[in-house]
Amino acid sequence: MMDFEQSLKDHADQFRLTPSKRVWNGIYNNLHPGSRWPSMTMGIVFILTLLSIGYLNNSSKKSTLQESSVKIAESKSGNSKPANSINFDLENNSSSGLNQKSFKDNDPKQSTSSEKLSINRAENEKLNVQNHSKTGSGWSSLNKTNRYSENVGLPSNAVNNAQKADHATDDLLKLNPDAQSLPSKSNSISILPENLNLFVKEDDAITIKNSMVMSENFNNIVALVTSVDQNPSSSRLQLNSYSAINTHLQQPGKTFSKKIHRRWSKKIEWIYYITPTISTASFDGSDLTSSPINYSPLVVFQRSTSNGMIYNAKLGFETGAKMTYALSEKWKLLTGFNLNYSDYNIVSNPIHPTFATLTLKNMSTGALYSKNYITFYGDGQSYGQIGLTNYNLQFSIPLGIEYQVWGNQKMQINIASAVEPSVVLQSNSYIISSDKRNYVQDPELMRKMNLGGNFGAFISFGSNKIKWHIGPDVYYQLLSTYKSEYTGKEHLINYGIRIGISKKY
Amino acid sequence: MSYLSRVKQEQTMTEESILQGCLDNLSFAQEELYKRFSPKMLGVCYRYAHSREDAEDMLQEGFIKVYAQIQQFKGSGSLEGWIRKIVVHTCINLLKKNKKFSDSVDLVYASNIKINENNIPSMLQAKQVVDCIRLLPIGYRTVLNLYAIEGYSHKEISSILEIEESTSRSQYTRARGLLEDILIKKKILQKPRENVSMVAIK
Repeated sequence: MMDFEQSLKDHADQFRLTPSKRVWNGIYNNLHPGSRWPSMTMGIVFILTLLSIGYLNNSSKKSTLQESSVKIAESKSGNSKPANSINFDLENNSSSGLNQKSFKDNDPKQSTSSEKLSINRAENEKLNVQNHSKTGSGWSSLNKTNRYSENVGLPSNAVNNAQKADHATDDLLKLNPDAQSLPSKSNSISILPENLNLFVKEDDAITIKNSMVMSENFNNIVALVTSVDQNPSSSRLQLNSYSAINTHLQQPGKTFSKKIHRRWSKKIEWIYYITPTISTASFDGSDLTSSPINYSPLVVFQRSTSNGMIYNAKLGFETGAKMTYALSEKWKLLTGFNLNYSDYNIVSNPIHPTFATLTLKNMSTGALYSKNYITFYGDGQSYGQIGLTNYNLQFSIPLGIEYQVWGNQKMQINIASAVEPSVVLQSNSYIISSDKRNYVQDPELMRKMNLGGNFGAFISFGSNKIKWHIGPDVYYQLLSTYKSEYTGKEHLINYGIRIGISKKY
Repeated sequence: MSYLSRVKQEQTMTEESILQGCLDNLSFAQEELYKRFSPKMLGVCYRYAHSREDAEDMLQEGFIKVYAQIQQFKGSGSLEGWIRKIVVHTCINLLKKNKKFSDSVDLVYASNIKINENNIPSMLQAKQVVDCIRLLPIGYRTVLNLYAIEGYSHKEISSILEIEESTSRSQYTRARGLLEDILIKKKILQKPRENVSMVAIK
């Protein structure tokens, strides 16, 4: 090299500049993305919201109906006074034991029919049910002046019964002066809840649960039994706030429960699935030319795309959870979250380091330009073939609909379709160069977000508690794996058999 | 890891250990690699870029590519030379992408170029030379950098920049002439002695 060039090189090599901190921050964030996943964060928040909704609609309100009657039971108090009970006779609208001021043991199992409620339900009336725990959530304290009105229609005789119960309670309080002071100190007072739930027989239309917990301090138990007219909407039930209703349960903390049909428990279903898939891809682009198919002994399913690539499909998988919400008997909305792994194999061969170019498009001006790379991989048509793996791991949230084509109690056939906005968690891609002779890598050309479409059909069947969902499933990546700067396009395709399981409520 | 132990580690880290750490995606090894080579590489980028910000952008992209392709380094040459190659190509690609070569000139236009070398502040000589180089039009400057400093041949330059080999030669010749003028005027370079043919006087 001449002196001038040597001098120039020496001076230039001595030149140093200290980069600002933002340069390293940018590099570090690129290498270790960390928590900069705004989409994933939003997706997680969305899923948590859905989970909360599902949980709140299904949690702690499950109750099984054990008895259709309100029993009079003896309290488990340590008090030496004899147990007292007041019986109400529904049919005769009378009460006994009020004046005797004595209380009898009443075995819940031997309760008479007169003590059973008979309540009919209005056609479309739905009752609020609350499961009152021993801690007394939703209960109010004893207050003689408070009266509750329920949304249950009852005849006037029920109101009369309530008044009798009121009197009986007064008697009870006279017998047990301590009772009046208990509410402020104890959470487990037997008092009426704000939302009263009435029990009915199984064969009756309305099933309401009334759960109360006896205070251990109560010796006396007052059973309030009401009757409901055939047309419950014609009357109102009014109950004294400190009327006590006890169940047949002996132990404090147990609640009298009954199975109640609820809309929500049948509307939402969670299906957990896994789908082994065969992953492949389709290619197109504006600068691609056709080339003949080449076969290689290394690959099984071999194809040649129109851009000169030799590739073969590989195994992938999808897994996740799907939540469906029933809009009607046949239609359901579906969402959830999904993890999708796709990959395929490219046939290449090692070469000496060489320059390769890709034709890219400047997005702001639309002009084409070429980008240079140093590559070690040939087009696979030379000696010493090797495999290069292109893979893609995506997290997505499917949004779609499901339709029941046919079904009965035991088996259903459904079809489902969804779009899946996704975040690319990890990917690797070898891209064929513009002259179709080499493969280059450029992570900057890979999309971080994508959109896919999913279609499947499945058969649902199962036992009383567990339901299986099995059927074919196809996924097609709607947007190219690469950014728009690269003129070639790749769309990943997965097809497999989805196996899912859900729990029946 | 405590600060002192980390400092000790950095001091004793060899190139091999840095490479291995980068292959294992260890952040401290990546940072060590960056600290060792970024000042010089930024100097390289500065010769190609229009501004310091552009140079830092080039540096950032270049190092991202270095880490992405670190597994391809076979150890046949020096690590610095390998990194430098990637950084230079990154600079060229960014210039091509942003159409900076629209400023490049052919020989006809070159005659009208006026360079005001009075704007170069007086600093250390290395920086002065680099600043003089940066005064040149982008096309000339790029060819000059690639040929005179990076050591590419005109054939390789024509392949990289997608120009004719003759264009590369002519642009370099013109660039060199302009640069020499600037450096002489700034007294960074001595004016070469003219060859004088003596004629005998009778």
